Amino acid sequence: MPRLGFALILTVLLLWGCRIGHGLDAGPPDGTGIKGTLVFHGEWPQETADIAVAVYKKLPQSMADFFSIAGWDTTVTLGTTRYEYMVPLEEPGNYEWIVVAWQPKGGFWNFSSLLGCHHVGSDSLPTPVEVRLGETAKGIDIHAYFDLVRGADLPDRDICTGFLPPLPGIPKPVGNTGRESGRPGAGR
Amino acid sequence: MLDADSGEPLPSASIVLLGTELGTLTDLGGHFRLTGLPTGSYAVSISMVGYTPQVRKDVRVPPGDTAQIEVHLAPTAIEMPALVVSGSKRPRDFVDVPTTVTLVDGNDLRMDNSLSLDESLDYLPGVHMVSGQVNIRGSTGFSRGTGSRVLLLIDGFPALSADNGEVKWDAIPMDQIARVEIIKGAGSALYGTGALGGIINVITRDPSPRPETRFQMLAGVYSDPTYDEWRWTSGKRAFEGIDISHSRQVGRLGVVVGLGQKWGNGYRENGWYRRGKGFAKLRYAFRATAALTATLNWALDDHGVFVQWKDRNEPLEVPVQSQGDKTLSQKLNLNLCFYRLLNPRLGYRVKTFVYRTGFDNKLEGGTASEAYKFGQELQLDLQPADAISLTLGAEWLGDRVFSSDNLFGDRTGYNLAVYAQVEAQATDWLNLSSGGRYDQYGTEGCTAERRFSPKLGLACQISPQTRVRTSLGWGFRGPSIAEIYTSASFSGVAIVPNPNLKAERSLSYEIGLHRRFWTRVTWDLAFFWSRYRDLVEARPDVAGVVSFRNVSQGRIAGLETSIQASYGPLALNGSYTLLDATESLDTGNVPLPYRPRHMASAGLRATVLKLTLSAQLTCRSRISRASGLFPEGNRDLIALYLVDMSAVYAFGAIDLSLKAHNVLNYNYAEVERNLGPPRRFSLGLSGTF
Repeated sequence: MPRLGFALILTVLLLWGCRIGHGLDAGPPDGTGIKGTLVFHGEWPQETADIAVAVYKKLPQSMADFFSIAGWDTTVTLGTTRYEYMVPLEEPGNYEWIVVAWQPKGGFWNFSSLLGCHHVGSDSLPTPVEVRLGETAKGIDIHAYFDLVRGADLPDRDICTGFLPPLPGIPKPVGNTGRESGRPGAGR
Repeated sequence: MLDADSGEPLPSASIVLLGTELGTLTDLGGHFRLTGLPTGSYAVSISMVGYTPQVRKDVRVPPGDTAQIEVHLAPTAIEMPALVVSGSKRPRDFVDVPTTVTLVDGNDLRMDNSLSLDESLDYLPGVHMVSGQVNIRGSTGFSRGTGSRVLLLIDGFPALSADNGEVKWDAIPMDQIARVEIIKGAGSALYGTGALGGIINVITRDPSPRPETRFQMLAGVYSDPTYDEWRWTSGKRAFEGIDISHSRQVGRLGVVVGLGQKWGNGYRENGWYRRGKGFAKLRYAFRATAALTATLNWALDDHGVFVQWKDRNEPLEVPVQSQGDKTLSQKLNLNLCFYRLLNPRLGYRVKTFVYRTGFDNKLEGGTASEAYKFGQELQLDLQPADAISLTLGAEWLGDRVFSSDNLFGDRTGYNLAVYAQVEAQATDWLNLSSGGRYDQYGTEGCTAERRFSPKLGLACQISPQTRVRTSLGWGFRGPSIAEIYTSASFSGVAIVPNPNLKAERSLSYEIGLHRRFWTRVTWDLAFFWSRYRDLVEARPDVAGVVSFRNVSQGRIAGLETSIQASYGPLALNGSYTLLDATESLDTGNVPLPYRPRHMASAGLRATVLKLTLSAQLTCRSRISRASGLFPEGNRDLIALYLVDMSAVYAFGAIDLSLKAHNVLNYNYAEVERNLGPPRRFSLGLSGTF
């Protein structure tokens, strides 16, 4: 009789347990946005005040465009070699310019001091990213070169800013390739 | 010592002279002998697992002669605790303690296949862990590793780290535990700072009178994550460990020595650990009534650090910037206690200890700390009259912390205290206790504080089956050095010192009933109420700079009930705790963070010949409020349902245990951005020779 009672209680317990489910599920997603890894190259400048990731819908064509930022992440941990960033966005669509910007102590954000942008493989322009509603485009990694703010002439300078028209305060990179429209669907 | 039913002798039964440190075990013939006792009258506690304990009062030892007692212990199917040490700093009959006490037997812990003690305590009535921080009736919440509101003791010695005032669970010698006593409610009247919500006293086993070797081996694996999206590695996540110890008597010296190691790669990224530990307990008996006990406990823990998940869809991975984060930590307790019984009415003990903790963080900022807590205590145990016991004591404690400038810096703290407690057996059925402790404490650079913490208690045996208890106690917790002096930056959040931090205070009241039905059922019910003042929390200011501050008042009221029953080979246990935990803010009342409103557990055990099967269910309601530091709030802190199952088979002196934790593979988070362990299977093998 006790064994039967034990078996009964155990059965009830298991049946009840099966109704509990698995608790937290695989969602909800992070929401509409872009995420990836920042990989920093070179020594961090002593005068670093902040680092930000900024996302633009279109490649800037005027000074006004620089202030049309669709989303940003300013939580980058200073001094690290890698950082997982996440930029929430209000709407889905194609985003053409995802950049890392450097701010010196006592200074302002200055897009002449870009450290890098998202571009894939042999692309000679920033690689656009397609973002779907409610989904986060992942793996949008960016290499950031501190030597760029020290004046080094690295290929990324041309790739990330070479398309810019002449603008006041923004130096024109050597070997400007001109602007091409972004290619959709490169982001995951 | 005989079995009351069969008349068979009972070996290894425990005999303790109440109020003293003196005791022994029965031999194979059920005999025991305590020699060299001063002339006088003693109260003797006799207990053994599976039997109803007895207390023989007024056992008179005549001059030059021997008192002989014959005890017949009646078998019982339910667990019957005999002694409690922590309630009055010396052995006391369980039925005389006016507060709710939960006892855990060391043998049960050995069969639990737990990786550390906090796992085993998590299902007890009124106790719950939040990511390793212990709560007694919701006392602590979750303070991110700084400032436990429950005082941990090892053999009565303080074991909270000097720098952040926290419990180091990996430092507790699991395989050496004789029993754990959990005293609920404020306990500063005897123990001072830290005992805000209760006390956990881990009592290690004494040297065995006969040569004895024990071993315990454990190995297991974690199940794969429920969802493929969460899978982060193709390798099996496993753990293993071994502990071995030996105990014997060499003349007047009793010895326990043990070594152990554990290894695991963890169920999540950075979850790996490598642990080593050593334990030694030496007891030298100068005479029958005087002994020096020295305990050395050492633990090394090299482990990865998981602070928060990478994101909600990759909850078993760390952010890329945290990959490779790890900490190397060491803990060392050295405890010395000299006890002398001068006569049946007067004994004293002198205690001294040092507890060293150190860590070296290999992560952002590279912080490190080396902290020493040390102290001395003199305690007098008096019995001015047959029915009155008096405990008097004085204690001083010191803290010394050496830390990197980007953490706490180099700091010192002190605590001076005197305490007294009187217990009176007013009648055969009424026991009264009252006491208090005066503390003066301070930390370098801060204003010293003084505090008096009284307590009152009453235990009343209103019938042979029914006992009522009630108590009122005050508690406090001086802020830890970490809370006052942390100057650091973590994940972009700046934390600054606050030398104006004051102690947290509490007042606890409870009334409880313990009832036994026939010989098969016990039932316990307690109503409790606690008020907390000047609770310390890490909060940001308007500029986003974080410091620890006295931010709020809290009130926790509720009830706790538990039942144990047995029927033939079946044993049942169940408990339920209701917590109404409220924080008073300027803007109104809100729930205290990280406190579930409902907690329940139920267990069933069946023993068939040498096989014991058991199942345990633990439930907690959803956490209604979290820290507020994360934008998702309490979104992921869902209700918790855990089912554990085990089978233990006894092969003579060897026990083989198979256990499945979290059988349902239930996914839960106790704090933000931390997924709890998935299902795991473990195989344990333990034996005593």
